[in-house]
Amino acid sequence: MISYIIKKEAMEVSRDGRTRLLAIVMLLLGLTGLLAGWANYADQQRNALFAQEDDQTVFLDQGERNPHSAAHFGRMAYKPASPLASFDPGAAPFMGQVIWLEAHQRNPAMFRPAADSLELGRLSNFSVAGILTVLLPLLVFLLGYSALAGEREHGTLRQTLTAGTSTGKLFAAKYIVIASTGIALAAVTIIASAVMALFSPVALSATDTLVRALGLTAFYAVYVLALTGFALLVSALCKQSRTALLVLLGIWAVAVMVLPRVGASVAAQTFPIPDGAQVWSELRADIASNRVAPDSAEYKAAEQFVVSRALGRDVSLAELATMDLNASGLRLEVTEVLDYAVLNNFYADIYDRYAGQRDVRRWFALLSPAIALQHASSAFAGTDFVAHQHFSDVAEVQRNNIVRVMNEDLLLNGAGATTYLAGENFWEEVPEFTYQFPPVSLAWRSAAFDILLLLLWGAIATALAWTVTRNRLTV
Amino acid sequence: MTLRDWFTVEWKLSIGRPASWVLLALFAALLIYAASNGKSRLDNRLDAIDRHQAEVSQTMSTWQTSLEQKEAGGDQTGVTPRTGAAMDVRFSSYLPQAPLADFAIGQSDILPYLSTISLATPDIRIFSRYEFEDPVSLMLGGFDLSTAIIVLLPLLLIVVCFDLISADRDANRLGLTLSQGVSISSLFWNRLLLRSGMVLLVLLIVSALMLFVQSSVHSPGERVLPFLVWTLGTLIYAAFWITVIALVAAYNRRSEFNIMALLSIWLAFVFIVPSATSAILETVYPTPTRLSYLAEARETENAARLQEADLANQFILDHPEMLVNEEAEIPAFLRSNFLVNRTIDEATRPILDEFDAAARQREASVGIIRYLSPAIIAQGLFNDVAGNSAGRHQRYVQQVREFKANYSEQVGPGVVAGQPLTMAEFERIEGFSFRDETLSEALARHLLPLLFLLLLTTVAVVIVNKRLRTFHVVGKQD
Repeated sequence: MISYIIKKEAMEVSRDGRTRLLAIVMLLLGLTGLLAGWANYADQQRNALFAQEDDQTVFLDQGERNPHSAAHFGRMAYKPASPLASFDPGAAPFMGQVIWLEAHQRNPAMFRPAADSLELGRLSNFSVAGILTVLLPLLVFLLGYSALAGEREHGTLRQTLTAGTSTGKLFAAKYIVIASTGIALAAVTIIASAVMALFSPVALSATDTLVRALGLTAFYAVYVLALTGFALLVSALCKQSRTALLVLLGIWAVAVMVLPRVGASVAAQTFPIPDGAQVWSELRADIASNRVAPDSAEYKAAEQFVVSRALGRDVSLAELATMDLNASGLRLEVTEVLDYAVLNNFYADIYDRYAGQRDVRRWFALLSPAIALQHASSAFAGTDFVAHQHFSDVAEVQRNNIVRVMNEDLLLNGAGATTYLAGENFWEEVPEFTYQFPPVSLAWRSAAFDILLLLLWGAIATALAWTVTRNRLTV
Repeated sequence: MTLRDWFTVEWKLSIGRPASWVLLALFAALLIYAASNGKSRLDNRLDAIDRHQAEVSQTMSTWQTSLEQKEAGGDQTGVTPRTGAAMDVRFSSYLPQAPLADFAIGQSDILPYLSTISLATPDIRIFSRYEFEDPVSLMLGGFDLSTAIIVLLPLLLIVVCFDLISADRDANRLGLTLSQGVSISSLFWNRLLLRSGMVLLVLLIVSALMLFVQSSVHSPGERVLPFLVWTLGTLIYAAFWITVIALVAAYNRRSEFNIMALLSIWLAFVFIVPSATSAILETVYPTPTRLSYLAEARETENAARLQEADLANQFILDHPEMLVNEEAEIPAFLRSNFLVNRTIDEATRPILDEFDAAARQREASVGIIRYLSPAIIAQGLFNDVAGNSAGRHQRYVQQVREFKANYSEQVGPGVVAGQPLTMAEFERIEGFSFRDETLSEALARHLLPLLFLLLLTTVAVVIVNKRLRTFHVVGKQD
C-alpha cells in the first residue's frame, strides 16, 4: 500500500515545475561551484608543490654560511590543500597557506587567499557545500509546505484517509519522497566531489576519502531529514498552505541566512582574538619573562640537556664546564628550548579561543542546524581550523628540528671560531618538510558534537512532525 | 479616501497585527545588534592603532634620546654603535578609520590597516604577521548594518508586501473592496507605500539613532554627510526592491506565486549573482599567486646575500655623491641588511605590480558586472562610505610601500656609507600619513549605478501603472 502512496507522491513532485526548476538550478550551481572549486584547488596545489621545490633549491644553494644566519633565513612549510576542498573549502580561504619556519619565532600561516579575492564574494559562499546548505532547505520547504496543509485545503486529505490510508503510511510516504529528493541531490554532488578527490595530485588514501565522503553524505542526509521533519510539522500545523509557506520561508531566512552570521559575531565578541600587533607584543613579553638567568640551575640544566642531545650521550655539569663548545651556538639552542613551551602555550591559547568561538556557535546551532552542518562538513572536508592546527603543529616540530640542526652544528663545530661558516653541502643534512593529512579520526573527534546536534535535529524534527501529524490529521 | 483612512484600514488589516509588530521589533533588534557589532569591531581597530602608535613612539623615543646623548657628548651610557642608524628608525602607519566605519565592516577584518615601516623589514613581511583572526568567523562574516540592509531589508519588504492584492484576491474579496469606490491603483500604491514605509521608518530611525548614540572619534557633524549618502543609497536600494515587489504583485497571481517569485529574485540578486560572478571573475582574472611572490623574494634574498659586495659596489656607483666613511661606527651588518632588503623589494616589485594590475582588472570588471545585481551596487557604496572597501585598504598598502621606498632613497646612501642620521636630518623626515580620497570622489564611482537603479525603479513603476490600468478583477462588473 505504502509503495502506491510513495509512487503517487513521487509523481506529484516530478510534475511540479517549480521543484524541477529549483533542482536543475541547484545542480547547475553545484556543478559550477564544483568546477570553480576544483580549478581553485588544482591551482593552489600546483603552486604549493612548485613553491616547496623552489624553496628546497634555494635552501640548498646557500653556499657557505653561518648556520644561525641560515636558521633566520629558515624554510617555508607550504600547506597542501585538502582534496575535498573543492566540495567544501570551509575556512581554508581565510587561513594562511604557508608558514615561515625560522629561528626564535613560531609564525602564523600567512597569505590568506581570501585577502586577494573580491569583496562581493563575501556576500555568500559559492562552494558546493555553501550552495547545498542554503538551497537544500529551500527545495525541501517548497516540496513540503503544502504536503499536508494543501491536501487539507483542497479536501483531498479527508478523501485519502477515508479510503483507508493510515496517517502513518501517508506521513511516511510524504516524508520519504521529500527527503529522498533532497538526499539524492546532495549525494550526487558529494559523490562527484569524492571521485575528483580520488584523482587529485595529493590524494588521501582511497579508504580515507570514501569514509569522508560517506560521512559527508550522511550529514547532509540528516540535515535533509531535519528539514523534511520541519516542513511536514509546519504543514501539519497550518490550516493554509500559504501560511505554511510563509512560516517555512521565515525559518529558512533566519536559520540559514541570519543566525550563522549573528552566531559568528557573538562568538567573536565572546572570545576575542587579539590583533596581530598585540599578539607579538604580548608574546615578546611572555618570552622575556620566561627567560632565566644564565647562572641559574634551570639554565644550567637546559645547557646540559642541549649538549647531551647534540652528542647523543649524557653529559654531566662538571664535564660541560670543561668542554670546548661554541658559546653562541649553546646560548641560541638553550633559548630555543626555553622558549619552545612559551611559544606553544601561546598558540594553544589562540587555538583555545578558536575552539571557544566554535562552542559559542554551537549554542546557536541549537537554533539552526545549518551551523552544525557547516562545522561537520568542513571538518570532514579537512578544511576546518582543527585541520589547520594539525598542519601548524607539524610545521612547528619541523621548525624545531631545522633550528636544532643549525644550532648544533654551530655548537659542536664552531668552537673557537669568531665567524663560523657551515660548508655548502651542510644544508643537505637538514630534513625536508613532508606533510601527511590527518586521518579521518581527527575529523570525527573535531565534529562529534556537531554530528550529535545534527542527529538531534533530525530526530526531534521528525518526531515532532509525526506527533503533530498523528494528532491533527483525523477524518 | 484620505491617507489617514488608508492608514486606519492598513493598521487593522496588516500593520497593527501582533505578528507585524513582532517582525518589526525583531528587525529593529537585529539592526541595533548589527550596528553595535560594527562599533565593537571599530573600537578593536582603534585600540590596536593606539597601541601600535604608542609602541612605535616608545621605540623612537629611545632612539632619539640615544642620538641626542651622542650629539650632546658627555654622558654616553645610552649610546651604542647603532645609535643614529637609519635602519633602526620605525614609522607608525595606519589607515584612518572613516566617520561611518561602524556601519560596514567590509574588508577591514581581513585586510591590513596598520603596520610598522622599517628598512629592516622587506615589503613582503610588512603585512604578513597579522593573521590571527579566527578563520571560521571571517568566513561567516561579521553582521553589520550593511549586511542587514543588503540581505534582510529586501526579505522583510517581501514578507510585508507580497500579498498587496493577492490576499484579497485569494479570499475572493477584491471585487468587494474595489466596489467601495476605491481605484485599484490607489489601493495598490497606498498599501505598498504604507507597508514598506513602516519597514523603512524602523530602519531609518534605528540608523539615525545609532549614528548619534554610538560614540566616535569623529564629531556628529563629520558623520552626518556620509550618513546622508548612506541613507540615499539605502533608499534607492529599498525603492528598487519595493518596485520589484510591485511588479510581481501587479501580475495579479496567487500569494504563493508572488512569494516564490520574489524569493527567487532575492536569491538570485543577493546570493547567486554576487557569488557566481565573484567566482567567475577570479577564474578569468586570476591573481598572481602569493607563493610565487614569496619564492621570488627568497631566491633574491639568497642571491643578494651571496653577491653583497657587488651590490654595495653597484650602489656606490649609483650614488657617486656618497661619502663612504671607512671609519664608520655603524655596524656593517646593517648595511648588508639594507642592501639585501632593497634588492628583494626591487626584485619583487614587478610581482606586486602584477597583483595591482590584476586587482584593477577585476575592479574594472566588477564596475560593469555590478549592474547585474542591486546587492553588489549597495555593497560597493556602503563599503566605500564606511571606508572599509578593499580598494581603500589596497591604496593604504601601496602608500606604505611608496613611503618606505622614498625613505630608502632618502637615507640609503648614508646607510651604505655607514653614516648615522643627525637629529636635524631625522627631524626633516616626515612621518607616514594616508592620502585619502574625498567622499565626492568615492560617490562619483557609484553615481551611475545608483542612477541605473533609479532608472530601473522608474521603468518598473511605469510598467506597474500600465498593468494596473488594465487590471481585471474576476467577478467585478465594470
